[in-house]
Amino acid sequence: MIAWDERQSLGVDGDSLIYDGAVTQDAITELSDRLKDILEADIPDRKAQRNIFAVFVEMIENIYRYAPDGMGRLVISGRSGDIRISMSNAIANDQIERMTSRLGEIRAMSTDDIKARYKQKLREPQEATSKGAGVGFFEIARRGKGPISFLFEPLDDGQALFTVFTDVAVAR
Amino acid sequence: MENINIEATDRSPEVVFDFAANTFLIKGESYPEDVTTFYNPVLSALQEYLEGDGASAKSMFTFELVYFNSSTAKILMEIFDSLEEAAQAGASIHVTWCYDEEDDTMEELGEEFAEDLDAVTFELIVVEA
Repeated sequence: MIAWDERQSLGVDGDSLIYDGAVTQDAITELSDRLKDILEADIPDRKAQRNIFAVFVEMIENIYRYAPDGMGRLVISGRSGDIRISMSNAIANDQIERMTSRLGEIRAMSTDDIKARYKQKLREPQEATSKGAGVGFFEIARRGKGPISFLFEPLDDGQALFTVFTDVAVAR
Repeated sequence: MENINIEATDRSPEVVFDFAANTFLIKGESYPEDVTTFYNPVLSALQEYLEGDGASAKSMFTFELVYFNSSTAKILMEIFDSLEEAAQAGASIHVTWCYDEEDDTMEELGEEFAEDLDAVTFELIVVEA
């Protein structure tokens, strides 16, 4: 059964929602439907609800498109009252340098620059293969508070575990 | 041209294109399984209209989106570019961008699309949630 591993209410410190498994279209539908209900119940701040949801969709769609084995991990957790959304999937080692450079660029941009670059990217043709940071990462960067964060952890077989996360501000 | 009437789903918007009345509506949420499969017929029909009756008619486009993903944003940009092109060539095109009062991101996104529209008239409207 495709479902979040639900541990505690969102907004509390710690890992609240975890999904670890195949990211299929059915999974995207099930997880997003359930997440909408959870956000409605646990996060009264409607702006935060929308931002969390938007980041989640971009992240899970990223895993769907780019994870070599179609598998990934999503974690939604509380961090001092704000909500952290993170995605992880395997990535070939030869992709690390390019992703580091592209995401590093976004990390260094101001919010205004991110919005401007996002708009430019909307007019670029759809990329058939991953050519670094697509529009999705710009969306994640604009919705989150603070710069987008990412890291790589070595795995076997010429792959690394690629993790991206950002925090969404939640009003008290 | 045959009207388009697509019902909303969890992940895709309601689309109502009335070619006789020259009114066009996209409403709801948009993060469909396959953006291309969903929007290609919509884009094709729009193109056909703008090259035909739409070139001389007075057209009203209403967008009432609660959420859309970045793939959809690309489609919206394509739609707005087509509308602007048609309007520059003489078509009368009005766009209404509706957003929830509390949703400043949706308001902002509307403003960003509006930036590149000169011949198309654009209106931002608050709607009750």
